[in-house]
Amino acid sequence: MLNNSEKYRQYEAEDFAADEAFLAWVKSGKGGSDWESWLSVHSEKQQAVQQAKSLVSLMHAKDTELDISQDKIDNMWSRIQSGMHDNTVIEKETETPVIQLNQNNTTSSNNSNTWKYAMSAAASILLLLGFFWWWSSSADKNFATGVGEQLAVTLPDGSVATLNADSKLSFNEQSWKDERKVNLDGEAFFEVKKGEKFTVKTSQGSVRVMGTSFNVFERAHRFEVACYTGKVGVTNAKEDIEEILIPGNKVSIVNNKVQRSDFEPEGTVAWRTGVFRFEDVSLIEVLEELQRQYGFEVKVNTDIKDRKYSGSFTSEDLDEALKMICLPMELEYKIAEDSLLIVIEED
Amino acid sequence: MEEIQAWNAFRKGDKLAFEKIFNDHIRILYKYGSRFTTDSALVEDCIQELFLDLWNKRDRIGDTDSVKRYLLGALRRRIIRKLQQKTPLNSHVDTENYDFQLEANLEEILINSELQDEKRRKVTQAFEKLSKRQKEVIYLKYYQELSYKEIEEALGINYQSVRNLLHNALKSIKAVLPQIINVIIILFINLFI
Repeated sequence: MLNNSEKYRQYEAEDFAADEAFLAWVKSGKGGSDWESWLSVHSEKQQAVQQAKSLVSLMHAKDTELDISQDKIDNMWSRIQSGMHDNTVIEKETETPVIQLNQNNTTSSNNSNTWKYAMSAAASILLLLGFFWWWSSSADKNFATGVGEQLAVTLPDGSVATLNADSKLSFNEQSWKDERKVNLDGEAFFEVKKGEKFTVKTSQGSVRVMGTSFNVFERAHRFEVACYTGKVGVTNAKEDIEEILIPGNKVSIVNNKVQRSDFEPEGTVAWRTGVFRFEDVSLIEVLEELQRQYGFEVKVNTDIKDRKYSGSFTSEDLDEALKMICLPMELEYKIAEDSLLIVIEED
Repeated sequence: MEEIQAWNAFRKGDKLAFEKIFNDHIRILYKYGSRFTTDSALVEDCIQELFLDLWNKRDRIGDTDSVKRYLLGALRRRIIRKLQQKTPLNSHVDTENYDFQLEANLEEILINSELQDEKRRKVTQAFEKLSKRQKEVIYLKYYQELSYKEIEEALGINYQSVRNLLHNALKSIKAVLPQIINVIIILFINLFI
């Protein structure tokens, strides 16, 4: 006997064609005798069922022309394999700039010797300058993450910087021996090997340490450093503020206003495990982080300027993440998957 | 289930399991991707990047109840995103910036019809009029044979929307069917009279 056979009496062709049990019958003959006996009783449904069958077969065009060749598959797999890392360190080296020196082969016979010497001297100087420029810039290493990405960068001394989404990090390999210094734009977690001074420079301030682990956040108007192990010195860009942090200390400098707070250092910053925690943070900043992790644009149709959020979201499931943010704030959200847009409004 | 086991093994760093997942899904992923664009290099790039990311971020990937649904959904997001990057930047978000190709299978149903060309044209037209979301739902339901729950997750729209999209699509296709079907049924009945 067919389950729910009552409901089928109300069905039109389009309802049958969308019904899982009906599809199982049409596609693989499952439950065939049940359907046939039901149809013999409800002959008025013969036509609808016939139509539904036609609909189902109409929906299924052959797509063999979209087959991919085994060669291509093998190729793709080998390219994937070559990019597979056993750990998560990826280096993106900047391309070495190519120097093109135009050699002016002046064949004019009127050239005096001095002119020739002057030319060759100038060319030599150019060449030297060019080489120097190449030598110093080729030592610049740049790393960047896009939306939703994280990247662990191993520095020349074995220290590791893990970049959060939409962040940039650079350092110079040549001068590294003299000075351990990286430039950061965005957010990163640092695990610094013991040694000479290590500096993280950002547009809003810098962090100086010896050997430690800490997190640096520098975006828009917020510069925030959290110390996980060791000792950290933080200065603002003007260098008129200096704060010393020990594990569990956090300092944020917003518009030159210093705010210190404490937190529970659990080995590593939460975002590295895909969890984004906030405590009394402006809702706008929380939504900005969501944008960086999911690549959706967030539109807010209500005033949230003064609202603060405490809680967390993860980078795994957008719907879940939005629930974590919006439910406690009594906000409603809509996700437009196709346009990568999230609209948030009052509940 | 075997595929879930492979998924869990891959997340723990099992390369063989990862290769199996790749081989089991590469063909359907390629076919699915090719419906968004004729640029096959772009589809290949997206699949490659998808698998590379899966491997290199495997410690941060959650469990799933359907590997196929997970991969189809992930590839879809990637392709739409990439297609958006390719078009010049607009100040506003272009919501309809991708396409989804799907054609009706006319072979089985119209083979002996006298009015073939006319019927063909009508059905083809009705198909073309479907929105791309309707086509996507049809494709995932009838080609990939996903459940409604899986389609909901792959497309990121809710269950009721999936059902509505499909219902309306089927209804509008049915509207161009009756004449054809009636002919078949009348013929069929005539045989018994």
